[in-house]
Amino acid sequence: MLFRSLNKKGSTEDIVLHPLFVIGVAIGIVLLVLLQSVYKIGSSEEFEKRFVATDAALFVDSVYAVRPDVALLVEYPTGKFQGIVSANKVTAFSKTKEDGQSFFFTEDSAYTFHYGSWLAGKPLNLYKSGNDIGLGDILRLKPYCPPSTKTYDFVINEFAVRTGEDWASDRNGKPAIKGTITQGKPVLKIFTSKENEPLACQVTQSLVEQIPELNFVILPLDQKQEPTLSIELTASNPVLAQSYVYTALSRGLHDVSIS
Amino acid sequence: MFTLHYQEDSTMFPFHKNPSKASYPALKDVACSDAFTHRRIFGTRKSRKYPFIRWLKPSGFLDFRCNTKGTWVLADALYWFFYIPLTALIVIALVTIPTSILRATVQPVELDASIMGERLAQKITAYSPVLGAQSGRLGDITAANLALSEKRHAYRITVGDKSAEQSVVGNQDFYDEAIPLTPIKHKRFTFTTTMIQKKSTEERIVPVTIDQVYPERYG
Repeated sequence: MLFRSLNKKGSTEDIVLHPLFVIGVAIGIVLLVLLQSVYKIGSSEEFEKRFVATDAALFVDSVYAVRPDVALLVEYPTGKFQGIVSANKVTAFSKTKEDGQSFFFTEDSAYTFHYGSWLAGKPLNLYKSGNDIGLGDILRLKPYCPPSTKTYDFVINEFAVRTGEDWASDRNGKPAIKGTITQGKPVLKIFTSKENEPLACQVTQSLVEQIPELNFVILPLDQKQEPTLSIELTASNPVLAQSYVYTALSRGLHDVSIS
Repeated sequence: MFTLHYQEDSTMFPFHKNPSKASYPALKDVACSDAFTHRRIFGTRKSRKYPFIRWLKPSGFLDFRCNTKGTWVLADALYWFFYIPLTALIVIALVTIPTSILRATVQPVELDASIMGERLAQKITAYSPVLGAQSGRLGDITAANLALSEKRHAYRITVGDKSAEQSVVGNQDFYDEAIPLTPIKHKRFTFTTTMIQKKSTEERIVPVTIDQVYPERYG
């Protein structure tokens, strides 16, 4: 029917089908060229670099999105490219940074980002531990200390840290911090009132960084109890731990006061 | 009753003078201008029924053959007038469409907005070193103060109803500029939930809105 109608001069099929066939062939050629272009760009190195940079930057953003009291270490396969994570930016490249593609991520002032780089063929390892996020293989649970504007006017008694008296007092001589250090498996218990939570957090963070495999817990203290910060530390080397405590208290009071 | 008065001249054909009596002139017998008129008035059987076929091929587009050189020039000019821009358009489309399609695949605006929404929600969630993160409880919304990069992005977090509304805006300039242009030029992502807010001893449920605005595509 179709072929017969083609021979009939001026028939509807002849008028419609012939142009349709021409248009169909034209569309086919256009689609082929289009797909070829898509394949060409899709397999290009620049596109792959862009993809890796974008994906890695979003990966960094995702690590920021994890709740603050979680420690994690994530491995991200980056393929054949190497790269650099710098301020607010991830760059993926083959040989030099200049030939690379970049994408941005958003930093958070509550965290300290430890920048770095990864090599071609090696994964990008990103960790989150307390207030630290960065490139590395660290998997350690540290307390996250939110930024605080609270200031403390305590005086640390270094000698008392060694003798076991009140470790710090306020300007009026009232006991502010007391504690004990004993020998044993590394465990830290800090009892704190609501108002001293930022200081307790900073001291804990500092001790966790200094004493390997230290388990810790921060517990609430009744407001009426005095002093309002009490530290119980067990360490394998109590003498060394005394200096750690002094450093932690100094850093804690300093960090809290300047933040 | 109309009477048409005209002055006869040698260029007129019988059907002009008296169309009812005269036979149609054949194309080869008429002058160029009259051939065009003939086609225009009477057309062909095909073109009367399917006018679009005139556009399907160049010879059908301006199918008035005549012996005048000027008419051919006009026909060619008209043909190239359409042919060149259309060809250029197709070539440009072939070059730009694949690039734009692929750029769109590396424009993760939706994913970025989703991650950032989660980050902002985490930032306003209550947290204490003793209790950890307290999901569903509202903390300090001013903590949602991120160090924004060169990436064009802005957000606004609003807590509470209109009578006692608190809000924090990140990248205020871009937010003010972009919000009136959504959804035409920018993309807007709004996430609404409720959280428990503690004020002194009283606790109440308040609405929380995280409103983000992104460009259609990153630069």
